[in-house]
Amino acid sequence: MKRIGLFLGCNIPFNRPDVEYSLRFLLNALDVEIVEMEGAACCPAYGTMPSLGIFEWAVASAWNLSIAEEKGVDMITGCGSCYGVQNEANYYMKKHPEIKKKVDEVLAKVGRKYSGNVKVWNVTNFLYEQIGLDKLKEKAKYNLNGLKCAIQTGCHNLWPSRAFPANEDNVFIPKRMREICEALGGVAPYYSTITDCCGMGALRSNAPDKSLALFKKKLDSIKAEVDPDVNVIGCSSCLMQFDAGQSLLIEQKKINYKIPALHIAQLVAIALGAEVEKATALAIIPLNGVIQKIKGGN
Amino acid sequence: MSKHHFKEYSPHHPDVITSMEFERILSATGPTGGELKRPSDGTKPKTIAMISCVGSRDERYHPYCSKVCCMYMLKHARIIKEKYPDIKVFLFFIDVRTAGKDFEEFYVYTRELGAKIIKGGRVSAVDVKPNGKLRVRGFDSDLCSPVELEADMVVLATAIEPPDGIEELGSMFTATCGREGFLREVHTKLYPVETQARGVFIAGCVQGPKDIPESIAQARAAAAATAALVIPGKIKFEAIISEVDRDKCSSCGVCVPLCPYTAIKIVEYKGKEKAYIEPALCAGCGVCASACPSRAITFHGFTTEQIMAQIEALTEP
Amino acid sequence: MEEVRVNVIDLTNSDENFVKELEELGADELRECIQCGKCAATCPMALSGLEYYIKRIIHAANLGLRDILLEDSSVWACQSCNRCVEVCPMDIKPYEVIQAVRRAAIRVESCPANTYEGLRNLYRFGHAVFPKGFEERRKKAGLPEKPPTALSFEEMRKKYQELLRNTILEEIAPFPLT
Repeated sequence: MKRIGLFLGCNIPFNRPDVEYSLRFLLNALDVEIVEMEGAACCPAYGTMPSLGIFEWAVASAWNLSIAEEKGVDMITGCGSCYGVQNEANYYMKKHPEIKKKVDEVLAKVGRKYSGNVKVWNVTNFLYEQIGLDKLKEKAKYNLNGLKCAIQTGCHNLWPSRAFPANEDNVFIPKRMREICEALGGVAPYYSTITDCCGMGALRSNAPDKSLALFKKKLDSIKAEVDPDVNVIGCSSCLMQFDAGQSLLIEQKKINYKIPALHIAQLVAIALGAEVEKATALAIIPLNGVIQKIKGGN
Repeated sequence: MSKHHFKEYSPHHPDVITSMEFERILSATGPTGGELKRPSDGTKPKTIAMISCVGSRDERYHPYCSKVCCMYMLKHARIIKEKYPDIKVFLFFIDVRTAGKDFEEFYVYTRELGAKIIKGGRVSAVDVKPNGKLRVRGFDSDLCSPVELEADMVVLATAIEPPDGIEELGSMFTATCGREGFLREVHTKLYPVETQARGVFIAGCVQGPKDIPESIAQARAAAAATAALVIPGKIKFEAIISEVDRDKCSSCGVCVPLCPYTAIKIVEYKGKEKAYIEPALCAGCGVCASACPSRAITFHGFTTEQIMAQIEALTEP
Repeated sequence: MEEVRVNVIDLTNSDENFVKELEELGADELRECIQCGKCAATCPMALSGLEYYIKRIIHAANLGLRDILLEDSSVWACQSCNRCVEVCPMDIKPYEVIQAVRRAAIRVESCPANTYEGLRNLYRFGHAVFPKGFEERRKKAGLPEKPPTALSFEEMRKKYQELLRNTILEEIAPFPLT
């Protein structure tokens, strides 16, 4: 049986635990044993330790990676930052042995060690490479019945591609998430702003109006080019922008449409038969239509 | 260079083409008979974006400047504007490099025709819109702002690169390639057409990116250098070269692959195979003399006796 | 009211050592930038209209405009999206320049308050993002009140804090590390 460490991060367990429920459900349903990352901390977010120094970044990530190593597993995360930050930390430690040496010294002080070989997966690449679309199809309880999905991969899931254990053939025209949705019976067309940033992150914290303006531009092009039933999202931060951020835009009367949003883990979990109330417990924009479409056909 | 290296520019789209392909479209003898048509549907484009330095000034492909692109992009823009003044043409440059006689004037003239110039603006993305148009995203340093353009056609000024097989070609006559893969001249300033192989001269893009006037000037220099070698009817050898005493040679052949100038051959001498050094090719490096186990090779000017005498003189108290 | 200033940047007193400082802080190839603009064409900072964005920051850094860059808060709004790293033709890793400027700025206490808040949360709870009311949210999703992270394992959290005290956080944190 495949085993994987479930790296939670911060936004998923505290802001969107429905994604955590979905991750747990889908891994169980796909016969993957979940190993708890007991004592794991923040990845650490880009604006924290990485903004103090490369060593600071590496050592804080190495803490988490060492827990996975001790348990003999790789990790999976539903958050783009957790994916980017920890893979980049791995990359830096390989590239700069002097930093790795310093990391080893400090880890030893707190009774830990890390040899440098833990891989961090995101949901999309894990499903695509470690599970496979065929198995996913075979395990699915519900067909998406032509549900029209607009894909948002999340920046951190795409680049810097050289730091990642797996990636798209062309990171500028991502298609893995689209293929997952289509394997489950959905429709997921390409659109011209598919790789654009949603504006969540440091921009949202430090310049919220600018962040929402950037998001609106993307959302408008999604509406115009795809007009989807749902936005399907590869990153928990983007999910918050697409759900809570979009609600703000509606509240501020800056847009006059409403597109519900699901994390890819939520969508897959629902297709695999998860309890919808738990899997979508924190969604702000109602998902009734989406769920009806998924469950209606079977 | 092929467009397919540049994944950020939607190379799968038929209306994203290279400048070489565009040159054919503009040509009277080309596939469209010189009429400007989009490859995808044969319609006349309304807006064309041209992107410079695609694969040039780029460490992932070629760090050098391809030198001719700025000018041919302006030329293409000029042809379009003269023939179809209603077509909008946007040229995305990093810098506009128009050094040389009459080139700056050409640049100004093209601007007068209405071609739009964007600088400090290497394009970052070309995405396909649902209507088949191409969304070009660049930066304009003069506006201090990112810019976006919906174009019908995108022309990539891809880098000049050395052709496949150039290394093998060079090795046939011991000319070497530089770091960028072009054949190397002996000296950038003093021997610009000479190669390591005596009697072999180079000209044109095989030595590095250059335009037509430069290629012609270099070709004429190469022709003159060749003539200077041939016209006297005889060739002067260097004094400091190596020579085989074929009576001493044991025919082991060690020297043959060692010679960097392929000057040593095994030829028949008194019924036996013996080493022979072609004096016209020998550059006097001495590698063969020091390697010969039979001490059959004399390196003129540096014979064993001469070197021993020098050592003795140096070690005298 | 904000003071109105003449729009000119004085290059006379530019700081020659600033580039070196940034190189040591991780921006090891910033001098190779040729200002081609490819990063800025799709940079969220540039698109959203921040005064300083990737291309401009690198240029200002190379000119040695230390005071201007450290006072400006734009770097803290960088999304860390890393698209610039992906597309940079000179492979100078533009994002590393942003981080290096942040690293220089925080050493002179020039950063927005929420940066310290994130660091404080990280130190205290093991989580930089630690919003109130999460217990209720977790219950809705059918999950136990606390996740099995450093938050639930006090021994581990203490060790993690010790680890953090072995970094520069020990010197620059404006809050007690106990």
